Amino acid sequence: MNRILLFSFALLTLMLLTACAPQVLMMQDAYPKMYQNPPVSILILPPINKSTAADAKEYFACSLAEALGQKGYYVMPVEAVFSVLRDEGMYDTENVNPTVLANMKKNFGADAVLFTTIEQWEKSWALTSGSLTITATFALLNTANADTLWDFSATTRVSLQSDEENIFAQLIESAIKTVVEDYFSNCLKANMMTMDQSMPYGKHHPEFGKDGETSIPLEKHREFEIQK
Amino acid sequence: MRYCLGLLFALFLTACATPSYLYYGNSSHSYYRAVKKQDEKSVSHYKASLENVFKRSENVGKPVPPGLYCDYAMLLLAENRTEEARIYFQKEKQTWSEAQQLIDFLMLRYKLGN
Repeated sequence: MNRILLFSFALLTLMLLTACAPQVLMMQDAYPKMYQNPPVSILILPPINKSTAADAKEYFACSLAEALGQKGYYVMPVEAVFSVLRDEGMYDTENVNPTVLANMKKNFGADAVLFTTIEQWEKSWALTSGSLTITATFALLNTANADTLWDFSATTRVSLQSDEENIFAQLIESAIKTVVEDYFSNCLKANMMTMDQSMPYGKHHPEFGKDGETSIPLEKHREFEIQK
Repeated sequence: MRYCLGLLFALFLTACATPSYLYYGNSSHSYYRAVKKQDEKSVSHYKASLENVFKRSENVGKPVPPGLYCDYAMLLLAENRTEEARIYFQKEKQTWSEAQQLIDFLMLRYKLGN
């Protein structure tokens, strides 16, 4: 009887421990193709904007190159590539198919293309606080066979709270708007944090090949908070 | 006390921060402004920010980030300074071997030869 009790207790403890264990994946298991045949050059496609903020597409387009470049990839020059895509009528990323991907390999020499979808871009104001919430999904596809090499999503919340007296409420409100409305800087920061904590290092980075055992969440999603 | 704690925290963060692998300065922000405003002043600021990256990168012995020599060449092309544009396209290729195919494609497209 004691043995049964002991066994049950051990089993229960094990189940509890399993339930409490953080649900994580090692990067090399989450993205094996990034380690087997790592891409060197990446072409950033014009982001797809599903949010209601019309400007969000430009904030992303102009900030992704730095976020990816700092990870050690050769990022195809954004302005030059976008001007070719515009001229060739391929600026709408929604229409990109495997044939178009193959052409990006052939003409530009890109090993992979980055698809970005802006899902949410929401701002809110109260008298002495404000916030901006950005949610985006990312997918890196192999230009040779359209395989997904890497995918991730992130929600970044930028918030600012003033502890000043309400006597200057109007001034504070305006200052808060200025800080949170510095959309480009906030967007760059969000993309840098996302790439920094979820994407394997590229060939040119000194840490290349050393991050296989770094953990990422099982759901391939992170939430970031930026307090200003 | 609050000041000391803040300082300690800042020091801790600085100690843990990895130095950036490349130097971008404020070129991304200037690029955004040039795209958004498309006026002479913002384009000129963007050019100056790229020149600053070239200079600082050389001073600290880091490569110029991917694409920036090419972006500079595109700005020179818009001013019809084709010979100088050709030099910067070549610099992109010399710095990053992966740029070869794209730069050859662009030079052909803008009739700059190879």
